[in-house]
Amino acid sequence: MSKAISEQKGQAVKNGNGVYKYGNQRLIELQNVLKNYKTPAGDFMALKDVNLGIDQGEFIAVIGKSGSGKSTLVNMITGIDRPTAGEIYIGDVALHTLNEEHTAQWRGRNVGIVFQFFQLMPTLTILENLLLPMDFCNMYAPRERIERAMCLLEVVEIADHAHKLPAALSGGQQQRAAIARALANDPPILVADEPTGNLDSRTAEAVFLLFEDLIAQGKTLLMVTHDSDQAKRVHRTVTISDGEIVSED
Amino acid sequence: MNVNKQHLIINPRWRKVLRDLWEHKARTILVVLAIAVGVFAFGLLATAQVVLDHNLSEEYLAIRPASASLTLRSFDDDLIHAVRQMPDIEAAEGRRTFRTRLLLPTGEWIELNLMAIADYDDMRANQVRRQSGSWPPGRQEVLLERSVASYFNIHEGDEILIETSDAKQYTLRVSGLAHDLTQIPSHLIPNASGFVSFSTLEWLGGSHTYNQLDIIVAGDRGDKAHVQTVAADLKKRLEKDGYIVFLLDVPEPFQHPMASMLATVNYMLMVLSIVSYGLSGFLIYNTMSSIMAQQRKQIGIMKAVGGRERQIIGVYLGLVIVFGLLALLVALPAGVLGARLFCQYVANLLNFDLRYFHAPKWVFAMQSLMALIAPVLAAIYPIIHSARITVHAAITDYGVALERLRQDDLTGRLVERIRGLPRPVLLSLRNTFRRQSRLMLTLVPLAIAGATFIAVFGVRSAFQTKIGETTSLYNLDIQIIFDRPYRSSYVSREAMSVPGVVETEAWASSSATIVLPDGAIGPPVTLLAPPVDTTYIQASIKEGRWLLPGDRSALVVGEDLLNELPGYRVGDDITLEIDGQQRAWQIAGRTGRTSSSGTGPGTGASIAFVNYDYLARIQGTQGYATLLTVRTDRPDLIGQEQVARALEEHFKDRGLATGRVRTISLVIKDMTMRMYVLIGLMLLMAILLAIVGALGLTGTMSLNVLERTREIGIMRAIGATNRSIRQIVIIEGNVIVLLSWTIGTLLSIPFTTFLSRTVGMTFMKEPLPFTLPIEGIGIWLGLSLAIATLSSLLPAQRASRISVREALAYE
Repeated sequence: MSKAISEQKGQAVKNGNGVYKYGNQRLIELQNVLKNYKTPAGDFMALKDVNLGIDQGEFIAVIGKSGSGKSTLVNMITGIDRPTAGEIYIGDVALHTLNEEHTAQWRGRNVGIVFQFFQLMPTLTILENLLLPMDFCNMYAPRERIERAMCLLEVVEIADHAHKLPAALSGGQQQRAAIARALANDPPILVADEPTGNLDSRTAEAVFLLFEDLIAQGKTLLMVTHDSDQAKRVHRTVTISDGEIVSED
Repeated sequence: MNVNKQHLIINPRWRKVLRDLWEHKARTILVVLAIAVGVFAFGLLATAQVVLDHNLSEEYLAIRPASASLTLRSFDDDLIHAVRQMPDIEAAEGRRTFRTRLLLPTGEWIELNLMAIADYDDMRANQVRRQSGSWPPGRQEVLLERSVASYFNIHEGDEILIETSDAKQYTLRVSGLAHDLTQIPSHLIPNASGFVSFSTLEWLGGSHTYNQLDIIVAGDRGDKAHVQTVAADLKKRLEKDGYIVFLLDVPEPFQHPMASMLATVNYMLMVLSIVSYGLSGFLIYNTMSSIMAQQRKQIGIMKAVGGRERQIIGVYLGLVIVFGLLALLVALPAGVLGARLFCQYVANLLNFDLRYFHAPKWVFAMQSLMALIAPVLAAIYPIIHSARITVHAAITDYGVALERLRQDDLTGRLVERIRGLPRPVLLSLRNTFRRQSRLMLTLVPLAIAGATFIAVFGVRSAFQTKIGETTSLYNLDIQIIFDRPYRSSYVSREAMSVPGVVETEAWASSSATIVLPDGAIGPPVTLLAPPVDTTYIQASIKEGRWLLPGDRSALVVGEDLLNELPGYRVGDDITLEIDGQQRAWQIAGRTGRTSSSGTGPGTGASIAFVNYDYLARIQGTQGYATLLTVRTDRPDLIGQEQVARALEEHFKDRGLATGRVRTISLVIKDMTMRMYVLIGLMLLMAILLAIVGALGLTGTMSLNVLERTREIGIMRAIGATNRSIRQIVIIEGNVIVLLSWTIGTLLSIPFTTFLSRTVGMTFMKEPLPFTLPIEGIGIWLGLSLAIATLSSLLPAQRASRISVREALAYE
């Protein structure tokens, strides 16, 4: 991966006592996180008193059955959803205390998200989809943004499709574009919610290799997956069932 | 590396805005047009107001309008010189007006008022301008007013046949055309006016003296009270010196006779344009709500990649501002072009030249603000509301296609209870009420457009009622006005000998001027004096009573006259000046509108009824008539006109001086024609409102189809044909329109009342009666159904083309 891509910027670092600003020792720390949804059928507890810690550079797989709370867990870490109770620390940030506005700003710079259904902006070209996070977070000079975006597209091997709209690309190519977009602002953390769930096995493998490469670059990666083979290849697997972490291997 | 320079210039979020606009061209066009309609109409009317005001007042001031005009029996140059020497008078001009008739190329006779001017190159007041041809007119030549020439298709060099009041005919050569801005143009009142030399006037049998004295007062000419004082003093002095002053007219200073009417018309049109602008906000709100609902997921993605709330708001406000800018691109040039055409139309109508056309900068500035403010205001709520959505809510949203139907949906349950309707119709009915706020926002513009449209017809009906009221007051077919009194029995007998004449009645008549309590001159009034037992007048007495035998100075006045005289009521005394003599009269009764000529200021004097015996006695004309009223056996205008012409010929053969012979039907026709000009303009604005409403309906139907793409796909999957899908959409459009028609019809009642009052007070000096415009309601229903079908056609077509695969893939 090119230097431009792996360049880090203002990342949170532990202090002399080996802890982050709020005393958390790990890059990602969830403490007694509880998430309750009110539904027409009554309250639904998606996460029950979850505690989880992830170190920088770790590659974590979150597995579990459908409806077990996997996506809720990653949504807590990305700030997409907020806990009903409990605390979430990401580096020097107490995520549970941030409002929507600050969360969006923080997320844009610190977390890259890869969705199962890619979620590319349909009216923007692939290149523009990559430029959008840089634009929102005001990262890099305009010319540098384009160079960086093209560089990322080369890394994910779809530079030739830079000026196409997402609908013109295959599922695998769109997911590569989504990964490139997640890396646009060079975030230290990547969260992927079933990134290969919609891809054929060959493309899924290519995407997974890309993740491994990112881990080698020092990124922290949390991946929700159903693929047990993939789960075996990560540093640690967190199994979740009925909103509780039942094992961490 | 291939770096596209475009990406350096426009950042991706603005590229998204532009792409969204381009991707949804039909939606963009709808919104842009909706904003543009109101902005265009405002630009047109505001520019027109400024331009017309400027041109009319500049041109009017340039002719040195008289501060006051006095009609005397006769005077000569000595008086003019003496008046010019008076310290309160800045200028004085003497003229002689001379009533004749003109034979048109069509064979019809019309009134031709000739004016003899002593020096065409030294007119001190009410200057007549040379238009074309020779100037001044030579002997046996006439300069026709230019509106006469254009309206009656008479050209320079033509020879015209005229007839004087003593039934002598003369041929005059049209030596050229002149422009007299003080005349009501022939397009509005189909009379004619022309200008001759005094030598021509003498050749025609007229006298070489003046009968009209136009003055310009010294001092503050803009102060009407000052003008009235000076004019009244002059009148007194003239009377003291033995002159007989028939009439004193003091017009509004520096104001063209039609200026206030024009201002009111413009004001009403302006109100309608602002309403249409306001209503376009509803369409924008609807469209933006829908856009924002469809963009929820994209908003979620943008937030997921770091977009902040205010950035998201900025993106969509940008979209709205682009809508506004595009609307401005359409509305600015269209407004200027429309204003130019409108000004030209009004200038032609009122017979003045459009020398200056310059769209004011403040109008552009206002239009720019309007084009940006309404969309932003209308869109701000849906944008902020949607931008506040959390990423989680946006990402997990199932899309608008699966909108929640409320369990307690009352309309839904009511629809379900309807028996006997086919399922697609029931589905359309239910669909209509699914988005109730959108439905309301679609109904309101359509209902207001409908109410305005119906109200315009209401005003038309009210005008017709009022005209009918005026004409039903006169239970007669023809009026013959004589230039001098003739024995009643003689003229009646002669008239009865003309085929078609069934009955006649001889009346007395006189011009009078009201003298106000402070001695100031009030409005002129025409006194009509029928016999006390007349059946030719069918006055509906609204207050007081009709004339009684033995009444001496009793007066029955119309509402129009009382409206001109605030403070006067039935039972009050009133001073009238007739032939220079002031007498006290008492207002015995009030009837409806009496004025038989004209529907606007300056187009006709009000009428008051008095007893024949009394008026004839004070005029010394007992047993004589100055007016003969005739009933015929002809029910139609053409038949009555034939009898009128036969009467004219007959009286001419007998050597009687008939000043004017006119049928009541023709009077109605003239009044109706003038009314249609106003109604036409108001209808144009109502149509603009209807366009906004139709655009709104098209937008709503398009959004409904778009949002129900998945549902339509499911219906197709279970066997719905193209026809049934189209039918569902079109029926829904028609249901909305029928609802709006119902609301519009109800709303039209206050609208009609308001519009009738405003128009009536401006044009008839009295509120028009409320008339339920059944015709307008019917026409609007037909138009509404046409709008519904047209507005739903494209969305229906689109719906029927949605494939099952495409529909089920839709989010």
